[in-house]
Amino acid sequence: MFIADKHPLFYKETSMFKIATNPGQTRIRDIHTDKFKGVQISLCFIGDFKENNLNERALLPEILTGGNKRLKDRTMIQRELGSLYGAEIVTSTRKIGFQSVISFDLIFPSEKHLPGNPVIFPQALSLLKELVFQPDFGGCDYFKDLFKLEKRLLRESLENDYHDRFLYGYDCFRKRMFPKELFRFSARGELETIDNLTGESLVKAYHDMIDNDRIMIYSIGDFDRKYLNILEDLEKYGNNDSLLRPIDDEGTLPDIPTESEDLADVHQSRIYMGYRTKIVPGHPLYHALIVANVLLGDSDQSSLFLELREKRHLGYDVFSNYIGDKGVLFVFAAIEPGKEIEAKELAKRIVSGMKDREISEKDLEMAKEVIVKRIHQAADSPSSTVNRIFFYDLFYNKEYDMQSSIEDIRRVSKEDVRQAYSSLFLDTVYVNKRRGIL
Amino acid sequence: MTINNATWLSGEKMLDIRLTNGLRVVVLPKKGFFRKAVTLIIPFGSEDENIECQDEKMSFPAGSAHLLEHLLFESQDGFYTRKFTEIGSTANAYTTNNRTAIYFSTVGAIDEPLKLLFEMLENVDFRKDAINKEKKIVSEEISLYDDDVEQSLYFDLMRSLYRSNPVKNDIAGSKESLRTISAGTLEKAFSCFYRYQNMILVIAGDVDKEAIITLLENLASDNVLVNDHFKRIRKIDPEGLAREYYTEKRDLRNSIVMMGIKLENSVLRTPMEAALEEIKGYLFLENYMGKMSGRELELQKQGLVNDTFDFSLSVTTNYGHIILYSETKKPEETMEAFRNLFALTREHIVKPDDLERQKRKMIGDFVLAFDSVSRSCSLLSEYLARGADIFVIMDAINRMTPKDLQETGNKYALMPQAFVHYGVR
Repeated sequence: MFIADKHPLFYKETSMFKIATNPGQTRIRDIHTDKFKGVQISLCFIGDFKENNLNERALLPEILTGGNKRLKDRTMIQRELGSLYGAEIVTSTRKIGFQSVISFDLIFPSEKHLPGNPVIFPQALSLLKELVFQPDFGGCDYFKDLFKLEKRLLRESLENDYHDRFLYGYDCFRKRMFPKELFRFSARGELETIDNLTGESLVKAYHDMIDNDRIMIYSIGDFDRKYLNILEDLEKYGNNDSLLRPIDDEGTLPDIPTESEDLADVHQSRIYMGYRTKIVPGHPLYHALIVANVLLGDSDQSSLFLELREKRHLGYDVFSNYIGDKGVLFVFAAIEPGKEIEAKELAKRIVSGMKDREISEKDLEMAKEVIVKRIHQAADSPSSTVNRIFFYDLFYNKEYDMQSSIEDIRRVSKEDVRQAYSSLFLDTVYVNKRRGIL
Repeated sequence: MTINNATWLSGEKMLDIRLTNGLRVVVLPKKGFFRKAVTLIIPFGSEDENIECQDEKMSFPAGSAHLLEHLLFESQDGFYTRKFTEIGSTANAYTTNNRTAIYFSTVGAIDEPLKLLFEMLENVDFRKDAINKEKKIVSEEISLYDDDVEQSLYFDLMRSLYRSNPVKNDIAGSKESLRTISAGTLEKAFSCFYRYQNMILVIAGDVDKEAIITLLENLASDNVLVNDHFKRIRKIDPEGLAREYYTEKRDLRNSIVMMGIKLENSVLRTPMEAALEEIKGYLFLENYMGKMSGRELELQKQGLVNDTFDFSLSVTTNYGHIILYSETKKPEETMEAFRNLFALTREHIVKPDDLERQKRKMIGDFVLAFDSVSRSCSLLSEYLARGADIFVIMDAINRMTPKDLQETGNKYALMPQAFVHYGVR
């Protein structure tokens, strides 16, 4: 059942947070804490990530928060949110594994910390519910205009990715490394197919979302729990039996890496290197690879940073990124023109040499503490806390426990890290290279 | 020791104290939070190209403050970033127009990284090798920023609005100006700006206030109080614009336009006057063309702007400007629309209900900003560096009337406007 106030496990009054779960039917996770002055309610819709509706799912949050029958446009919604002490609804569409996750995060100050303690929680939560579950697709001019506007804004937003040299290069790289895999697509939408997006296909995607997506709700903060009853009738939406596939395991380990380059009008060339691995969340070496990534390129003490930037002065920005749900590790570098080959070959040597390198105890401990610090810091923010809990729900179907998460990192040995490095296979190298002299 | 109780909104009781060596320390306790954030503010920014220090006039080439910031992390026995990491904290620094800020965060005890911070200040490596190494790194940084279209557009606008104010120079300087910075210049700058009586240390997190003060009194005791304060030379830019319009073609998908309005002033403002002027102007602009006004949506519906549309306002003691920005497919019409938008500011009437809604939003934003150790630390640092008290400003906002906003904003229509347009190549 989805009846908040009847469930004994639902609330825990603690100074730090403790998660109360509705066992079996993990529809809502409520974190009651007085640590924060803000409140966050997150509605997450988890559906399949598909090529044929990714633009629709990218646009849906914008349409839903762009107006409805009562509040005709974004201005009216903003005015209502402004009256609620600057409450905001932050939306996103992400790809996690084979899932498409649409989130609506309602964030507002706790009534207890506002002058005069005004009651705003019920209005704020009702507004979120109204916008998401009572859209106005009536076929009238209102929806046509809204759709036309939001589609244009999405198209221009995707076009303008070109102005961000790193982002644009990353997009080119992704399409080269994953030419036939879903990972080549962005959950933010695809320019090439955006013309196919119609009002009808959007409405269809909406109904698919509220009927067939798994719906997960997260609440965190210091507020009167009785107001969660507002969400009670949401039980009729969604499909909580839908299969979750948070790991994208398309693709195989490469035999020979492919290399390519494009010329561009940039001041610094960008190098993108993609490694594949079979290590994903749940794999025995998952935490080891997180540590290995910090040592390689995810800190200012990493091998790539110290060697390419500090010692050889080949560029300013150098880092690596491990994407667990796809089992890939990327190396990125912005490099002085003319030094691309030197930087690329050096980066390759560094990555391939990591498995044979003698890692000192000190360096290993330092890398682990960097991650432990991040875990602690995540508990200092409502949104990061929700993200951690969501991640555990999605990948492990269990409650997030900060302490055990820290222990997982602290248990990692040098041998684990060595094995994690051994699991990396270079797949693709792409260079977005400066064209002549600007 | 003074306890600042003017924290009516954040609910935090802040400590604001000046140590015997002159260092100002501000502590914002955040009980129950893991993260502790510390920022040391040094009043050396990119605008400080000319100063008087100990009765001597000094000039610093563009980029000096930023290069010195880089050099702080160098030492003959290793990088300070590593030393911070070894004790479980993360350190970095940044330079703005008006300050250099060195910051670190930790989830452990604060004593050791604080000691390291002060040790770092005692061990700056002014050897030629160290300076040349950092010059190379900064040079790479400048190249990287050259690819940042928005930043490039911003400095082209600054060069249009201002004739002589150093705000028109890139904070990192240029590759040419870097070459002119010598060890002697940096040492001079260090001895003038990096004195405790000039600095402010901001600490936020679950910390023991009294223990920190005791620690700091012992740590920073060597650097004695010197009475010779340096004097910043802040000049008002000559009237009018350097140029009204600048355009160039770039490798872009859509055009980008930026409009600047120069808020001319004939006398220097005090830091508090500048901060209040800024907040009144901001509230006026929000009221006139913010998301709650409908004007942004109208421009979107006309196809003139997209969701990159944004505006900002900056008012300091000696200059001020408003910036409007958008990417667009119709640059000429967009610039015309921006021009018309500002022509009408003189007729805009602020309605009491709308202002009340804005005040509520600001209160809510303020409460949420203090929900984060990092955000509260950076917000406090920002205002302290400007010489303004954010809590006094919040009090002032609460008392502001529609007339206050109109008196500020209705003048904007009369101020000189400059445009920068990057077209599609």
